Amino acid sequence: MLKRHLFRHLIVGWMMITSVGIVYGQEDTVVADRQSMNQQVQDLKQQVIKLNRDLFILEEELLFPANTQVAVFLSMNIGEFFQLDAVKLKLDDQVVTNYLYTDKQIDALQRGGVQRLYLGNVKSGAHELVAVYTGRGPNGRDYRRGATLQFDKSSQAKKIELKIVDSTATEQPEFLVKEW
Amino acid sequence: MIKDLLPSIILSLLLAIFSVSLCADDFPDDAPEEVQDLRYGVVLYHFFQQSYFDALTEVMVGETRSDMPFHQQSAELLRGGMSLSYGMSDQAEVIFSELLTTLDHQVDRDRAWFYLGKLYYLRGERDKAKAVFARIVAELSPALQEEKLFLTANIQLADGDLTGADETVSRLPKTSPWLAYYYFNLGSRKTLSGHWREGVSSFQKIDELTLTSEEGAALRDKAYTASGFAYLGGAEYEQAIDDFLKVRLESPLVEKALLGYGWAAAQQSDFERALAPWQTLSQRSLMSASVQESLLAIPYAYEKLGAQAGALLEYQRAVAAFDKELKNLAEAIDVFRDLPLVDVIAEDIGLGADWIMGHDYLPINQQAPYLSHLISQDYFQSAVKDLSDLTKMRQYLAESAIRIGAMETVLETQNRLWTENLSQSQREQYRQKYDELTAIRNEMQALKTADKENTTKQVFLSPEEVELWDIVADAEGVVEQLLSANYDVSEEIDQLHLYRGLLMWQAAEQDSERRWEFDKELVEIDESLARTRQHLQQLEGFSEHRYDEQFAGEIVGLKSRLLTQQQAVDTAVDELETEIRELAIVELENQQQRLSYYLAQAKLAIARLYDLGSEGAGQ
Repeated sequence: MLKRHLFRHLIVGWMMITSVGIVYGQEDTVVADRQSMNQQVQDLKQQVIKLNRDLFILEEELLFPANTQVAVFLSMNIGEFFQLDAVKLKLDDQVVTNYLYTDKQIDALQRGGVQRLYLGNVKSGAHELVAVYTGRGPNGRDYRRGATLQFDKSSQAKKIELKIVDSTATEQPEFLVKEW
Repeated sequence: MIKDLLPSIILSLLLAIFSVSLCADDFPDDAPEEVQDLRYGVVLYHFFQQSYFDALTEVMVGETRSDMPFHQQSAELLRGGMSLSYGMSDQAEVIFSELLTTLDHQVDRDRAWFYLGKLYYLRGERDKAKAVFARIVAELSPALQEEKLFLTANIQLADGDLTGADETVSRLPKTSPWLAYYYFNLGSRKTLSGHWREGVSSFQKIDELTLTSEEGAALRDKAYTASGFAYLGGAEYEQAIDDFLKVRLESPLVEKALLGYGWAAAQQSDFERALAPWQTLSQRSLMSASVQESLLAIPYAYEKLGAQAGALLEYQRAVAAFDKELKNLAEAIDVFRDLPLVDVIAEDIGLGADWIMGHDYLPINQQAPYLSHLISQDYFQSAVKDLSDLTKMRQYLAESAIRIGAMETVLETQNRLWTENLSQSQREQYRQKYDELTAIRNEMQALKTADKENTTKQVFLSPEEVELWDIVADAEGVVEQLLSANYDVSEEIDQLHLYRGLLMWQAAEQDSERRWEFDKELVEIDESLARTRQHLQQLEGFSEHRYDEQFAGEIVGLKSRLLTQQQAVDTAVDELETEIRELAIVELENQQQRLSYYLAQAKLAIARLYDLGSEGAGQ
């Protein structure tokens, strides 16, 4: 009687195998259908990315033509002496961007990424760009620094890179501006 | 019999492990190099945040604009890698295959070979993967090299070449995170092929590794569970119990471990000891198959201990629980029939964008634990990720519609402004003014040049003074004629000399002030000219970007593509929802079938115990 009972119990276990088996029996068809659908989704993704690319290009040509375009980028080299929290950007004394960074964004910057911080339009001629950085400096102290650039806008698109660089000589961060 | 059960348990653990085994970060944390093309930097910025859609768009814009000359090949390589991570393996294959014919550096070619090999591996095309990995000549970066060795060893394991796999893995550093996954895969393979003792030995190697992360702890739980079942199959019950007891209480595998613990005790006829884990297990959610099984195991143990009345009560409790659970399953099936999967997936923040390094997705609803087996299947994960990506595509397309609308508005506004304010005649007026100013400026410049060649200081005279100088010149002419005719004009000559001297003195006296005035006027004319030129340039620039047929045509084209894609995405979302829903319902129906069987067994046991009771009373 006991053996029969044990047998019955193990049969229950067998059912587990069978239930797994049932699913496996269906897998070939399921996997084939899945592959077909997945390829369809891959094609769609590719099409949507291409549409986004064309839209991006047209937007730039129409909304930010080269003769008025000014683009400001931000990059960071290591960031050991400065933990960036936020950047405020003023163009001709007007605040155009006030950006607060997430840890993920800081990580992307520290790994060599460059952020397109601002894209806008200005008239030809002389302009002033002011960037104010806030964060934590050496020894974890509150740190606030500015960088200014006087630039001339010509008929070419203007690209400006704000660079936060560690100066090992002074053990302080440096805030550089580069015109491309 | 337990030996027969073993393959299914190991297999279910294996299914989980292979999906986990692809979670390591592919990309080394080397010190970043300064980018030489800003756009490539922007690509990296999106890429490092796993924003593959934005990063892929940026790469493709860069290719169209040809503005990544310094990083062209790296960008293309990255595009291939991102396509793979974004679940576009077909696209990735095309990119890597093309790259291999164009890449200049061996290091880049080797990276392309690696990604292509990984792509084939993920698709289960082992021979192709092996052939591609064999083409890697130079040493890859440490992270990629370790992953390549791990994938190669896995292929060798699958091909039955255990010696080769061991040799490959021996080249991994002792601290490599892949070692633990390899040992688990090896242990599973050996146990499934009947060499359970060797399998256990492999599982135990994981215990010797330093695994500090949660992922490492979870892997260790899997290894203990698998090792416990291997011992159970080999009738080494105390060893099995030792391993089951090492599984953490918070582990998802603890229910399997508790069940196994009970079995190991029961196999030694120590039913009192078996009852402890089974009773603990029976307090947990009935959605788990292990918990369901414990409800039958407990009365079985009572019977073994001669406690028939207790066994009867437990069987009755099991019947009530199974009845209730069958109703719950029926409700769960109804829920899944109507569940708006798109909304559920859209709300989920746990499903990352990465197809390779992401974590398994668990649909958020209270019936999710019923689907634990299904969720561990690659095809289910792939379907859910497809649906999640399509949901995001739908969102991108909705945003694109807004952006296209904004561009239309801008074009219309520009057109209106052009028509209203910037007519042809206005431009002509500006041009005329510019021409006039240019003429004045040229005249003044000529004066200045003449001044340099002339020292008489008569260049900057006023018109009145010029008139007086003319009178003097005329008078001098008359005096000359009178002299020729022998008239005495000495007095007139003296007067004329005096007058000329007076005029020269006046000119010299005012010369500095006049020069200063002249220079000032020239500067003002130059400024005025610059302003007019700028206005004209702006007008002409605006003219170039005013509403024109080319922009309008491009926008119409984009709108048409947008509409087609929106429809295609909507259709695909519907199909995917149906696919996932059906998979979930089939899974739930399988569980209904199993639970009905358990219920029948419990009822039969109750009948049997009543029979026994009646027989006993009769005797």
